[in-house]
Amino acid sequence: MKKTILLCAVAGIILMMCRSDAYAYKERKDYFSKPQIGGWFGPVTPFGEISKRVETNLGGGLFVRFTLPYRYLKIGVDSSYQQFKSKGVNELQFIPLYGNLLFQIPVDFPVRFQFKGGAGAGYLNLKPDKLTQWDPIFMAGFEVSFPAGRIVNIGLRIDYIYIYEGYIKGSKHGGHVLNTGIQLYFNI
Amino acid sequence: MKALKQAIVIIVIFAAAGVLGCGNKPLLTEMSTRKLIVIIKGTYESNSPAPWSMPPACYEATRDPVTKKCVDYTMGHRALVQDDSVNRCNATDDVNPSLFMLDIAEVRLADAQGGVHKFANFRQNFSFTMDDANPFFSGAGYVMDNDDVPSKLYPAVMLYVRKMLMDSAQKYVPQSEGWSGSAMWDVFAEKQYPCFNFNKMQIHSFYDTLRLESSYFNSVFPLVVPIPDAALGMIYNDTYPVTVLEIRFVIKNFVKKYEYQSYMNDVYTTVHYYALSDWLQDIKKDETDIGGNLLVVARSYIPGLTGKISGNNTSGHNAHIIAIPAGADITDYTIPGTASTTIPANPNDRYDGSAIDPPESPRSSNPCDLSKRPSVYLGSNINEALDYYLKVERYNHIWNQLVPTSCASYDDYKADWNTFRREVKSYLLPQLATYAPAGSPFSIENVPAGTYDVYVAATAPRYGYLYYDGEFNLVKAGVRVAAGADVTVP
Repeated sequence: MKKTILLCAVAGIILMMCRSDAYAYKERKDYFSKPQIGGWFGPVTPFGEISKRVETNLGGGLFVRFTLPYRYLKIGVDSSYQQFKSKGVNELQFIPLYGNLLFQIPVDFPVRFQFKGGAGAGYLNLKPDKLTQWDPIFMAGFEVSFPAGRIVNIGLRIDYIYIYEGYIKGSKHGGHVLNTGIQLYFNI
Repeated sequence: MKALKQAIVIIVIFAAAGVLGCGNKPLLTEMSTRKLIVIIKGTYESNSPAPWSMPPACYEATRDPVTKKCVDYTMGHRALVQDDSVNRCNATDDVNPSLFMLDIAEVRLADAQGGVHKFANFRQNFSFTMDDANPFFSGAGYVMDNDDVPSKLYPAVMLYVRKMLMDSAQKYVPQSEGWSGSAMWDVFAEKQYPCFNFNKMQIHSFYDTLRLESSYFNSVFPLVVPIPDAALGMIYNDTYPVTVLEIRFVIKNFVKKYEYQSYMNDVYTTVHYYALSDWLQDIKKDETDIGGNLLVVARSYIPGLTGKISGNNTSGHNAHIIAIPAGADITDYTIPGTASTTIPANPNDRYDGSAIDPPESPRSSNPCDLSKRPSVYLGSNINEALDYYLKVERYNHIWNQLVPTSCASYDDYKADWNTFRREVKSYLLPQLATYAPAGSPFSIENVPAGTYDVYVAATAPRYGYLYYDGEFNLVKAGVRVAAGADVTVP
């Protein structure tokens, strides 16, 4: 009899744990719609013409996001610090600051998939010429996020940033940068 | 309404881009292109250099037909190429070098505020054939790999030269049938070649023997080259599409043969190698350092903002024509002294065994240039130990010859060394120089706008020499050159 009671208790706990997981999943889905703030770091890779002069390095940044009335759309502001060095003398510091619109695939998965696109400006500091200026930038990206509880989200991101200089006389090409990284952000 | 909103958004984005773009430069294009072109040359002349005139080493008529060994040197080799410091080994196996190799670790520019700008920290290896067709010796120059620098005034360029090598270096060991020679091997660009790195022998200058500079601290690394342009330096401004920085090493027709002794694996060995002429700072017997003879000049110009100075060489001999800033002292471009009295009329003749009179130089005319005490030998090789004692005796002998006769007091010592230092330090290479055969037209190219005094050499170029006081005659003073102008002198 005692064994039966013990087994029932264990089975009940397991069931409750399962139900608890199910409820938690529903709760996370709600929490994901809250304003979010976080950061990321990972390799930042130049490609195209500028990759002939500077090389991949580690970069990182911060971002905030707010959900729009349509719950699968968010707007966000991102900034990061990216320093591209080289074996030679060239060095490019790049601080993008942009707004973006995020679209979450409206399917109830435990993992969230988001596409994003945006525009803004990027601060460039070119060495050894010591030339600095702001250039317009455009970006597009994709994220996979794993909600881990009410507050914490862990994600992977890949962003493409285009530095536009086509409007400047004498420009022969713009800049292409690929940011990949892991991110940690919080529902607040 | 929706279309209107979209239009407003697009307009706002482009307006923001326009505001951001006010006065902007194409930075990313700047990164992959360059406006500062650094050209290195191996000539005294800034354009149209004199052809190579290095006398052949071997007098071919007496070459042994069986062994093919050279028996006699030419007069030119003994009088102009072989330095008077070569005294230990009289082997006749040496041949002229044919390759000059340069290993540059980095080039930096020093600005007027004391800042140093790294703009070419790429290791670059060059190998130049020593002939008139090679751009390094043809006057065209060789373009280095570098990047741009901030727009500033740069009074000097700093060259971090790792190695300077020439081939045809020979090491000789004494054997029963005489000197036995074999090629010296050295490392260039991580590979071994039959060549010799003479840069390790070079020092900035000879100093008086009471100072404590060792070769290590006095080594030519970096080599600081002033850019004595009109504005006291190179003005680099990135609004100009191209600025050229020309760096010239005097190597063409300025190569001599030297000697040093060592014990390799306890075997007495004499090495003959080629390096730069000791015309400015004479190298004496048994000296290892060959300092102060790396003569380099730099200048800058902006293509399109230059003119040229043309004329005819009416001096009656082949001659260098130089242009120096108006009012500059021509004696800064020459040194006191006279050339050797035994310069052969025909360098290709057989060396007849006659004594060679060495040329004068600020060092050879310094009566207080006392020999340096040899460093103490602490090894166990009896030959080296005996050699050391012989060197000590020779040092004592030279010292006693000079002190207190020609170098009578410490005050004399100070004064003579100050004179030497002043003469050597004040020597300048002309930024603008060209060469013309007798009766031929000349043209000094890429002359920045300004006023110049034009001189013609009073003597034909001599192998291994530059010019002594009084060896330049004024062609015309105050020649004003404007951008795009071709000014004819006289």
